[in-house]
Amino acid sequence: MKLEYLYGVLPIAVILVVWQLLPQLGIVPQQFLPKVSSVFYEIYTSALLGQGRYQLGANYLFTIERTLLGFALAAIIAVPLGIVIGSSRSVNRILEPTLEVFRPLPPVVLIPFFILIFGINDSMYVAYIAFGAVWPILINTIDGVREIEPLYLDLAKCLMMNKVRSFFRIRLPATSPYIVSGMRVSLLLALLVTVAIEMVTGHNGLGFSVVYAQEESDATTLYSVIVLLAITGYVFDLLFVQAENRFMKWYKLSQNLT
Amino acid sequence: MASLLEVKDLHLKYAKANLQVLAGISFSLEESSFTSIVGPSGCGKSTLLRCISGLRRPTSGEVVLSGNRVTSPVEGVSLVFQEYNRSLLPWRSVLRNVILPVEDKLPKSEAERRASDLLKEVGLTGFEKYFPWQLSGGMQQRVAIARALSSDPKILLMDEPFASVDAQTRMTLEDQLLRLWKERGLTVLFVTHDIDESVYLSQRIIVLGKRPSRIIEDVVVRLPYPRDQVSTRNTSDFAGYRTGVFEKIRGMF
Amino acid sequence: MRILTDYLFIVAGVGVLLSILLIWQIVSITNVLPSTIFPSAYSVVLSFFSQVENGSVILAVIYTLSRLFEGYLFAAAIGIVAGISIGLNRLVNRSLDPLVQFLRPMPSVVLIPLAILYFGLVDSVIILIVTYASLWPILINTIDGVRSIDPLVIETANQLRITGLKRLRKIILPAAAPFIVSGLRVSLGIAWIVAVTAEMIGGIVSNGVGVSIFYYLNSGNLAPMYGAIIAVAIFAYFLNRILLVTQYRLMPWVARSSRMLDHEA
Repeated sequence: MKLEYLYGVLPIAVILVVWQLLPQLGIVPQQFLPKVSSVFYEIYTSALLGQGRYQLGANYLFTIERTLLGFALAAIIAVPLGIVIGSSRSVNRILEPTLEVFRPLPPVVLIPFFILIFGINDSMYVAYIAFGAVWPILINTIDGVREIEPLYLDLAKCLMMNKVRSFFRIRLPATSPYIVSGMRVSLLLALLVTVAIEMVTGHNGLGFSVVYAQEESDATTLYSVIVLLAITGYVFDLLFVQAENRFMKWYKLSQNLT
Repeated sequence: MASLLEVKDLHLKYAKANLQVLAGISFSLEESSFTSIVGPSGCGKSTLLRCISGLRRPTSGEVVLSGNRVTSPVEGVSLVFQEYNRSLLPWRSVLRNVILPVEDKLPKSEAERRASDLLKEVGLTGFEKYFPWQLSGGMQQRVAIARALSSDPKILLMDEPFASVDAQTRMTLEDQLLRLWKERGLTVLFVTHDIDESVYLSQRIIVLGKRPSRIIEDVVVRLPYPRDQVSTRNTSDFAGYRTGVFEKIRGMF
Repeated sequence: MRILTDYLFIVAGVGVLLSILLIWQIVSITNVLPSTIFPSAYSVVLSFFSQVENGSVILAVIYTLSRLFEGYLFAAAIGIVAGISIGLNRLVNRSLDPLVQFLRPMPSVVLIPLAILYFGLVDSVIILIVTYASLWPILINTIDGVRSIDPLVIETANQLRITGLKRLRKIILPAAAPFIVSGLRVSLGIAWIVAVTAEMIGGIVSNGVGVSIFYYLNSGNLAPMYGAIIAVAIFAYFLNRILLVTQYRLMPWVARSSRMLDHEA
């Protein structure tokens, strides 16, 4: 077990060492590939201390705030809606073409639409991000409701549970792994979409910072933003993995035995 | 003595496939009796059980429980499914699975006490906090039986409950079931494809024919209780009953 | 009789979409939103058809798709090959997994400016980023697919001495195929986002739908802008549909492979 951990750490360690050495030894010019230490120093000064003109800390907060708000809005809309749609075969069939049209649509083409309606402000961002992030949760929730083990529903009928009880006791827990799975995808998608729109609108946020840094040919800041976003994405995903392990362990384990 | 359960001229047709499954099934069950239903695969045994439990409406005919017509699941009837691993809720512990039928009807402490008593009766003390998927097949089915009994039903419907369990475990479960039956005065309707099992367990065997199925034989099994896996199965009477039912079923093909 | 109800549902389904257009038309007529930002559905549809006729919008989409597909297919090739190799080797998988889990969640659009810094404002920048972005879902899903193969099947293959290319063709690929297609579907969505975002950032390329949309936006000519959006929607719909149908064909026993979505994006 311990040895395998080492194997996992090795590739990352190698990359970090190479990353530090290549510019340090002058093999690659530092304007192109800044040292790892410079990048982390920049993160420290610009993001944590708020120095310099890039203000990575403030911009980071903009990005995170929008991502989380948009995600929350998407979840609040998608979960109940998904449950309603999934519960009724007729509703599902009627709405399916519409969903199938909107699901593959790249949300970025609708950026102008949102800008026109809201202008460039926080509500526009949150609305847009929510629109982009809603689909994985919605589709997954619908699937989860539709694929509930029929025996559970039989059981609910045999026990003469009324609709409310059977929903909270059986249908919701049974659907929850799908919902959580959809949310996990959705949060990362929200982050992606947030950065994309920030890059396009050039207003504020890390997306704006990274374009600004590129215009100034500032590789260090560029990498700083990349690292910040990579860490953020990783943490988001990790949170969900932890949540899944704590609350959804039963799902993974029960699946293996059927 | 009025029968506890009456099945009157039950017909069932799968409309979509235009398939007549049950073609006029009629029988009645006395209180505290143990009856088995056997028949060839596909003859509709499970479907019959579902109609009796109220999960399914027959095309015609009726099911009457204590004088009342059954059109949907009713109080006092518990169904044990064949696929135990899919009928137990995996996000709930064993105890909480057993509590489920009475969760909202009894105060918590009483419900839990009843559940742990039942678990003791099926021999699963100590497993209350385990999850169903941590248990073996036989243990899971015992949890399912405990759950079925927690609402204190008068009638226990069992749909091939021991079919997916290995032979050794099956013998243990059979004996456990007989004990529970006697102790609680249950009325049991037990569907199985295993003729030996039906003879071993029941007072009466109803044999269903091929689809569209009717009752082709109704046998009273006059073997004494308590029954023993070794000695009872060794008697010539046992063999006689078994052969009789087997011949009846074989004669259909 | 049953076929009639099926048709009814299809009609109802399309009806929902059409009613969106209808609501749009009503909204624009009653001027709830100013017509400067919300041209009537009618004018948009007209504009769309004239754009299709003179080919401008189709051309734009084709430019976008050509870059998209180059990156996407490259990512598919790398992802499937690497995915199968990694999936078959437990040690390699264990070692690379932390790295993959770290790189996967990063929003790949952020690499666009980096690529510009390195390579300047060229077409191939977009293709490169699309490749990187599309790689992850395909790679991860392929690894999943290969690892999901029942060890018993591998043992049987060993016993029957099916090895190498034959094993790949007859056992591994068919088993992993549904997962791979699922990954391809997810990657396609990401590829679209990256390709169009790059066009919208401005200054990188001079053609493609992203460019067209913003061009129309800035010139205040909104009907063709919506027309371009609709064109993208149609293309995206059909491309996704092709992959979905392929997925159903490979796994007819699952209505929708929701379990595969465990590793989307």
